[in-house]
Amino acid sequence: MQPYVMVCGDIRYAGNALYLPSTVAACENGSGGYTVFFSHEQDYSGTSEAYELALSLLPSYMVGSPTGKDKVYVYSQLKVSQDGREVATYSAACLKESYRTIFSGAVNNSEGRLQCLNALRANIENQMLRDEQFWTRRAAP
Amino acid sequence: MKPMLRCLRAVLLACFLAGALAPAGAALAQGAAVDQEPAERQESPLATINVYRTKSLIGLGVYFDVYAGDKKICHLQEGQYCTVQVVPGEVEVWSKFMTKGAVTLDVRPAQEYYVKASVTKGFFLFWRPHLVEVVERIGKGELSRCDRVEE
Repeated sequence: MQPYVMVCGDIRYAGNALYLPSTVAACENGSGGYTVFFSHEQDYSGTSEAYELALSLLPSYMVGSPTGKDKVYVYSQLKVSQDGREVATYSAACLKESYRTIFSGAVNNSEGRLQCLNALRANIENQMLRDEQFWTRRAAP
Repeated sequence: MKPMLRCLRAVLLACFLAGALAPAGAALAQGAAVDQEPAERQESPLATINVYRTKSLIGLGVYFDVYAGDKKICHLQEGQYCTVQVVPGEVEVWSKFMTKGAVTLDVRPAQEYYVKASVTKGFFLFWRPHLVEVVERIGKGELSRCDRVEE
């Protein structure tokens, strides 16, 4: 189901449009002076090589105990401003953890980032749709 | 006799000054060249991705190809690095050796990125490539201990 477009205005985002919440859209006419700033950052971490080597020496790794872990952190923020004044800010963070064993690999970092960005888009859409204050302010004359 | 001595002293002083100031002049010229380089880099619309693999006992003797998008960058061995210039945007750096290891970078113009490649252990002689983006401070230090892949 396509979410309702709550804010139509000037979008300031240089990245992939697929990650942009669909509650905001670009429009030239009748934007009401809205400007939308969207950004996301990611970071990666995981088990160190030395620790992974130590884990692989444990006999239990033969039956599938984890030999390593990957973590992807993604943070995104959406700011809505009207005539230069900040109206609302929504932010969300995601942590994707995946373990690997000798039988199965962890989710690769590219896939982890994509899953996180999709989850964050849905999260920000929900935050916007449930923001009663924003609806009230918009309805006010 | 005195004017001749004075003249000789002046010549010696001139030679000494010329010898002492020449390296300083050369250093200034070198400094100017170094200063120009970042300015050129800032103007360049392309970004640089460095992919490296540190020396490690894990996966010794396992080599794999590394790609940026559809383009092959290099054949990477342990203790080596390679560099590629890319157009800004979303760039996936990946490698496939039995399974796929990948990391996606949000590439901005004139920026430098560091990707650390390694292998993780699978069943028996089964190895998986693993790629992760690292910050410049760590990437630069580790990359300096690697050799450039010969083209």
